[in-house]
Amino acid sequence: MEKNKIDFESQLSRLDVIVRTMETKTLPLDESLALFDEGIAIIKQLEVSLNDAEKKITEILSSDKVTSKKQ
Amino acid sequence: MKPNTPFYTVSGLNRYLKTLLDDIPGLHFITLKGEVSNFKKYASGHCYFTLKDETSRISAVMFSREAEKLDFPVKDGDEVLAVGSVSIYPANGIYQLYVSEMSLFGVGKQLIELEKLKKKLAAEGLFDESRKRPLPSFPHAIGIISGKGSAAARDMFVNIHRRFPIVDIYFFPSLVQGEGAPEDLRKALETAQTYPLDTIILGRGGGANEDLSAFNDEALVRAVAASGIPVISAVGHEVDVTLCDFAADKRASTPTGAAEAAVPDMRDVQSKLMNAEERLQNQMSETLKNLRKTIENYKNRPIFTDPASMYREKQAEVRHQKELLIRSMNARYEEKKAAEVRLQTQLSALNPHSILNRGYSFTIDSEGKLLTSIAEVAVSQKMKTVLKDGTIVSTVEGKEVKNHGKE
Repeated sequence: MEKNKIDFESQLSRLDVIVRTMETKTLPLDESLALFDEGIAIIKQLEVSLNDAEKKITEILSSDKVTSKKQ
Repeated sequence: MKPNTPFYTVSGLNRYLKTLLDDIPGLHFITLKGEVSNFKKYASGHCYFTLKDETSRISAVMFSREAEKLDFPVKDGDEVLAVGSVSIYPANGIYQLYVSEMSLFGVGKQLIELEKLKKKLAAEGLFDESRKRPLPSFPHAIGIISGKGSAAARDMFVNIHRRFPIVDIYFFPSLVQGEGAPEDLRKALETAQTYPLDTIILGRGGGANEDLSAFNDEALVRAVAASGIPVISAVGHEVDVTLCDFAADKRASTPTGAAEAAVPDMRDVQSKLMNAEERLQNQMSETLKNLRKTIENYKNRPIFTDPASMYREKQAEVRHQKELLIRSMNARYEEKKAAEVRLQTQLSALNPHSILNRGYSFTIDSEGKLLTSIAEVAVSQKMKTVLKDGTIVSTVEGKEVKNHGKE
């Protein structure tokens, strides 16, 4: 299971914070730009990982032998 | 037979037999074990059937008021415990069991045991709401314990993949009914604990009560409650409830329900992302637009459109001051010049040479000292008298003093 695991939960929370901050606070321009960049980066990252449809079902037999089959 | 033999009527006989039977306490509220056959339920709700064993049979009836309370669908072949009374229906002379209550034999006992176990485990707090953990919203890996090759397992694979294809699925096949099933399930759950799973689904498809009974096994239920990984119990259909359902962190009534509980819908996440992106873009646009407007406003201020205005005023001021200065200087100059002219005139008037030019002369002594008074003159003193064009050198012969006050 060597996939680069993205913590969806925390990334989505961060994204929510970013969007809300940008919409409710008046920020200096450089801060706005920084938040914007961060937000877009998170979105891209999550979209990419959602599209990574490489799924596998691993069947664990009682003898503890692992067989993996891609579907 | 003799002609005067006393005789009964049929009705009389039957009625007599009925009273006899009705008087026997041992025939009332008895429990009878038997197998149902020729079961028929009429539109009225009344049920007529036969109860039998290997060698005998007895007619039975259960009227609608009692039959309504049956908690299982009676069918031929069911082994039952029927509670009722034996009596004769005088109209047809048939003695029947009038059934007031009926339950499936064996199942009845099972249910009682199950109820006891449920109470015991509940008292230990195994089913408490507070013990139930929230399921991870975005699991990385899910374990599924279900029948190998079962429709339920396949349903879950398909639905989980449809909703959230990026999650890893670990499948732990197990027996789900019959002998050895509870042990198999427990072992699968134990094995699953050693894998880095976020959630475990324990599930199987629908079935008769006996088929689901493995999920009421005490050791299995305890294992579910003790699982370090959150467990979703998806056993049977909507109406089926097993003790595993109570002990699990979440109960799903179908395999699809289990998939929905275990993973988020990717489309929801995607639309959330798109929405967030749109909001960010809009917000950024708005910010930049406002900034541009502000800059534009500054650009339009006179200080930038007509910078000369900054100093033009000052220039005018300077010019003005310069003029004033020049004017005042000129005035001073004229003033001084006039004064000078005046002085010059005065001076001119006082110029001895002018006086001389007018014919006057002055006299000085031998030292050059000017003689202004007769008292300064002594007879025989040498003196000079300067005229406009020469000097008279003379010696004083005599002097005349002017009378005071006269002339």
